[in-house]
Amino acid sequence: MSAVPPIVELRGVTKRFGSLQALAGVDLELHAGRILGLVGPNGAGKTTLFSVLCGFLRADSGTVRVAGNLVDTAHPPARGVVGLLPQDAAFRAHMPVGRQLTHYAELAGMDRAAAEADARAALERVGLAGSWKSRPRSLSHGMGKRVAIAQAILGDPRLVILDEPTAGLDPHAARELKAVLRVLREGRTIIVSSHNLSEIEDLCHEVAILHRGAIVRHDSVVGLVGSAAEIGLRLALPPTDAQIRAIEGLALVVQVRWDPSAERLRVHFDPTKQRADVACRDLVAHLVAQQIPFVEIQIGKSLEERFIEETGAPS
Amino acid sequence: MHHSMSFRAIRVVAAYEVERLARSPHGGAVLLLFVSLYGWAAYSLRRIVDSVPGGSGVDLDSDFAKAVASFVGGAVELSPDALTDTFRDHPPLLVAVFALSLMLTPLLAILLSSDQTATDIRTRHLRFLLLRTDRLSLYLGRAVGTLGAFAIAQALATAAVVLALSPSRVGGADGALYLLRGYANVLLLAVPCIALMAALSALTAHAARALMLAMAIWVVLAIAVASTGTDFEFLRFGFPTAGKYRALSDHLGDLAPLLGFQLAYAALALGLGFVAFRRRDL
Repeated sequence: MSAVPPIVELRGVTKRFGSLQALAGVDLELHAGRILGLVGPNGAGKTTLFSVLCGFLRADSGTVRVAGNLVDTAHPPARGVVGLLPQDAAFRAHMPVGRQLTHYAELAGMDRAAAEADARAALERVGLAGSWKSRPRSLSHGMGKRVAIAQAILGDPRLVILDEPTAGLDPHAARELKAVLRVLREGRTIIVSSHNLSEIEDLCHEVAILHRGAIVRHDSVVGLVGSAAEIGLRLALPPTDAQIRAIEGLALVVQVRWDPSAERLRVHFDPTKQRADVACRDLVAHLVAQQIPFVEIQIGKSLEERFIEETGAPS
Repeated sequence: MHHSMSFRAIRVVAAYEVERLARSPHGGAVLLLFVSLYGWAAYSLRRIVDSVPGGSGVDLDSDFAKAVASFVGGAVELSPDALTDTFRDHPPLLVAVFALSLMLTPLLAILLSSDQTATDIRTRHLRFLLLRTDRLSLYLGRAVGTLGAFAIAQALATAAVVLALSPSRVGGADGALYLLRGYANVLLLAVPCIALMAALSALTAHAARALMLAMAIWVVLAIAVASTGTDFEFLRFGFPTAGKYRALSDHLGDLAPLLGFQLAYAALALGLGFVAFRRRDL
């Protein structure tokens, strides 16, 4: 436990919309400098949680603290502490991008010159310096997302919340955006939600799984995906019985199982006797020696597999 | 520390709102309507002026003038004496410009101010703003900015009408002062109209619905007052246009109650609207 108070602290937070229990007692802590991935099925309560965290929605019960201060609709987080990329908010269609960003920075307390400089710097960081005079309606969906991220980092907030930053983007735009996020994450505290679990695995230090309005698992990425004493192999061809038996004969191996739904060979070992990296090395050596072609190897389970285990449903 | 209402934030929001209205198709359309209506007014007045040789030449003490003052005064809620004094003490052309402005202001102010917070609530654009400022500064800033945009448009329209009629007919410094007083009265009439639209905008979260609702209230109350007689005349105070032509009078007995009503209406509408805006889940 760190002695420094967490930048985000939620205790028993509930929120109901009519008959829908959107949040059902959420407890969550996040310390400065960490990148948290928030994952959950559609309707799990991710956006509601962000809305409560930003003071847009009032929690029915429980406490929300950001940077040590209690937050609700009457008392939003202190100015400049939180930057948000909302999932479904739109820019004003007819105002130039640069002018809108300058306005947001002015509202955060900067004078006009400083606000304009900050807005230009933010646009440059997301690779859109040339879009200063563009109208939002003239931008592609991916460029719009990047402008929204520029908006979220104006004034260098202590906490940045990104609600599904790559949702709806084509693979090229998503890749460009991930490159932007990799640069932006340095030295920041970020909470990012996404349905793209490999993206979360790639970008985050910790993962919280939100299911039916509650956090069902919160752990480091390594803790979540690497805790299983298992190596997953994607082979070029389904293995023969003889190949499986040969792998079962290795000293480190406890059990070998072919998983046809995931098209993976699951090799279980005893982690108390063998480190995962060593077990992986020995297994690869065996596959090479036996000329068994493989295209992918993974220590532990993927986040997607862990997610499905925890939530009992595909994302 | 949490952020609370600040005059600086209101100023920033208001300045941006003026710019936003100037750049938006909606603001452009209302400006076009300003130009069209005041252009038509200037053209009509010019024709009247050109058709009267040697100035007005009307004897305001004649029985005919008194009968007209009695008829018109009743329609605009002014005593015949107040109306006669107005025409006696000020250039009739400027009185006409002033009256026309009072007639057009509610419609133009309502059209201009129908989208103060509505679209931003509907599109969740407010989420970009509310982490940086408080709801009250935002709500008041939008209303102040809309009033600023209206004030600019009204000043341009008034100047254009005076130019069209020829500045020599304004009547020197006294006429200019009267124009200024008329301009101030028109802005005061715009205040409760904009306040009403601030409330309807926040309540409906839809600019077109806010506009339709305002028009519906206006029409329904007018019909109700006309059809129910004096017992329900108080209903006309449900809309900010009540007693608006009293602003033409120079008598304090006409002006003070009007000013009181307009400010009270604006405060009530803004207050109720803010309660709705503050309670909204955004």
